[in-house]
Amino acid sequence: MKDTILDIFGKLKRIMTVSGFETLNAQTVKETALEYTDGFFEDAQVTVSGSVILYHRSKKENARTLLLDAHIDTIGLVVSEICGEGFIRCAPVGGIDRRILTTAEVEIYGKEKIRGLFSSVPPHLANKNGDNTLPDFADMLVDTGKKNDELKRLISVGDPAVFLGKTVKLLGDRVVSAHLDDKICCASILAACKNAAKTDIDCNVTVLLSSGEETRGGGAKMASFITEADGAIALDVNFAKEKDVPDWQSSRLGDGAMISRSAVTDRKMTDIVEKCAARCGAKHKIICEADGTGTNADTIEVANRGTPCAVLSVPIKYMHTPGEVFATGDAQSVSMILFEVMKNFDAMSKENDTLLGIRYLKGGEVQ
Amino acid sequence: MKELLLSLCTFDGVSGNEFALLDHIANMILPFADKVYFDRIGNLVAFKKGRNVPKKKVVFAAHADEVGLVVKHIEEDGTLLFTDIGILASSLPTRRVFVGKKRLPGVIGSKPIHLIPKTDRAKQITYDELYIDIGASSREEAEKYVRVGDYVSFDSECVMLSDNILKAKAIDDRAGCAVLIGLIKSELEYDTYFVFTRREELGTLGAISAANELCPDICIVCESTTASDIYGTPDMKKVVKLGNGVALPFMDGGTLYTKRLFKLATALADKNGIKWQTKTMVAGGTDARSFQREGHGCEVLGVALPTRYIHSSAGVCNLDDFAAQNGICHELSKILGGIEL
Repeated sequence: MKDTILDIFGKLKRIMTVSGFETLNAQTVKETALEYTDGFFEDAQVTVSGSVILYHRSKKENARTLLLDAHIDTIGLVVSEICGEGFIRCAPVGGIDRRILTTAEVEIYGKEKIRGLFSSVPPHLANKNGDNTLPDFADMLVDTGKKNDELKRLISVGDPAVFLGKTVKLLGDRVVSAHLDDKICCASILAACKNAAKTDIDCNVTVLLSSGEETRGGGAKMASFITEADGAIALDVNFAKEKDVPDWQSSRLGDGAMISRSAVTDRKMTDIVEKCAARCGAKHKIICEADGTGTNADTIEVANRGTPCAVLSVPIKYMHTPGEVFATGDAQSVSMILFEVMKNFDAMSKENDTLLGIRYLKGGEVQ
Repeated sequence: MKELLLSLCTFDGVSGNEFALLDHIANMILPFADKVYFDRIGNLVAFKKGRNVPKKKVVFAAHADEVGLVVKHIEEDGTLLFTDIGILASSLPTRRVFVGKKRLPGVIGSKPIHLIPKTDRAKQITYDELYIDIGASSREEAEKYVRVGDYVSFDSECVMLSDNILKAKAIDDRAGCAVLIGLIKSELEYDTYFVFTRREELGTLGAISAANELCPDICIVCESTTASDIYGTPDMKKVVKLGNGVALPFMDGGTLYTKRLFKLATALADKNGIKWQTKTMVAGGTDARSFQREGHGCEVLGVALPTRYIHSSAGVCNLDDFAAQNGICHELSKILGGIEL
């Protein structure tokens, strides 16, 4: 399963899906998802905002529907000015850390793909006044090394750009790569679905590879109006333990999946995820994100008529940089938990009146 | 009505954990409503037939949840770190709390003043300095009783400070819940919907789904609002004053209330001799924010009970104002169904 996750991740990583530009390659994302899941999905669609929704119908009658969400969009850049002498100015798309930009390499998607890197003022010229403040984002130019007329022919203002960051295996099962956020979760879902294709699953499964998470979560909200599920799990990366990151906010790499108990998400759905994690023996840590999880779950929980939603995460280090690090075992734990939830969701959600949708006490459809 | 309010204030219902309270309210209203249900995320909705069919769909809303804390980490020494849901840090030290479903007692601890450097003694206390002490002497012991993510509510008595001044936790917004329950128990002029929402204190979240599911034309949000009428505060900054009647805001931090409903309500209050005031500062926010913007959108009116020390472990309100809040809602229910949009 580890190799499957890495394979799918590698394929998805190469598809440009900068937040706001998802529609450009949504069809490719859809085809990739279908190609790697061995016929698990009977149907798939691309939404107006560039989300991809994949549908698996259970053979069971009156089966419950489980929604699995991970966002397909990534942080990135958009060209805001072609300056001169091969330099371009960019605007950030999503939360980008200015401190790590110097010499960061990018790929700009114009008529052709061209490479560039963030420039810097050499140290013997900088900090003359002992000033440590960072330049504004707009003053940090990207050097393409091209002649200006060639540059103008190849790219225009408004073109997207992505950060480059090779995928490299480190010691143990650690891997460094760009765009783990959130394509490693997309891959973990699809790997679980590939696994599920071998068996009969009792519930309907809707997979949402949502657009726009890095720019305020629009994709998940709009999808909630297109398809309604009985319960949902939003998958996103979360903080792995690093120096100076508090224990309560993080989990150590290798300690498995992270399950969030929050006041803004559904506790019954969270209990289902926890029970399934225990049942399949997948390593996991419970963390608390009481007043907001910062994931699509916050949106899915309330959007449209509301969907009970839980959060399941892969811990990563150095979030929102081109050098994010994760442990493949943790992604595998996530995938195992998802497979276990798929097998049990129908029964568990019907047990003891859990997740009943609208529950009539008097009047209405059920007396 | 007073007994109803007092009894609702003794219930725990920190945002996200309103189920026991909502079950209790559901049982109370079941004999009087024609339809009662929990929506997809657990907001409690009731429908009651009136003498007439209304021209437009009218919904009365109040939020069931209250401010509180959530355990975020168990330290090695057995103390609990927490996240707050809408609480002022300065109201926390030494407060008594109940932790988790089994209501385990605890106290909020902080370092003694003797050990704080003199230069820092005048500074406001912050959440980072506070923790919950349940008497456990190790993480292992604490973990037998508490889990990360457990809800924490305040152990705060309901006390009448004088004939008409009540001190209790969760007046925000059990007062609104009490008004809605009173309406459901009464004979109504028009068919009316009622919703007891969840997670208002987390950013008017429950109301988003409620608005999408109910799609009201007119929504009356029964709330509590900040009274800052502390001795010495300039009048302008008092926002609203206890004893000056129900608060009818024209605007707050989240909503511009529908002008014609505001005018209608103030005129109706004057006509019926109901004391009212408006907010003198544009601050705070209510479920009206979500009702106004979600679904197909609707006209909104705020009807609020002035309450001191909102967003802390205890509030203080005047029951005469509560009677005025109740009174204006009953008057509104007699006419709202008859007006055109």
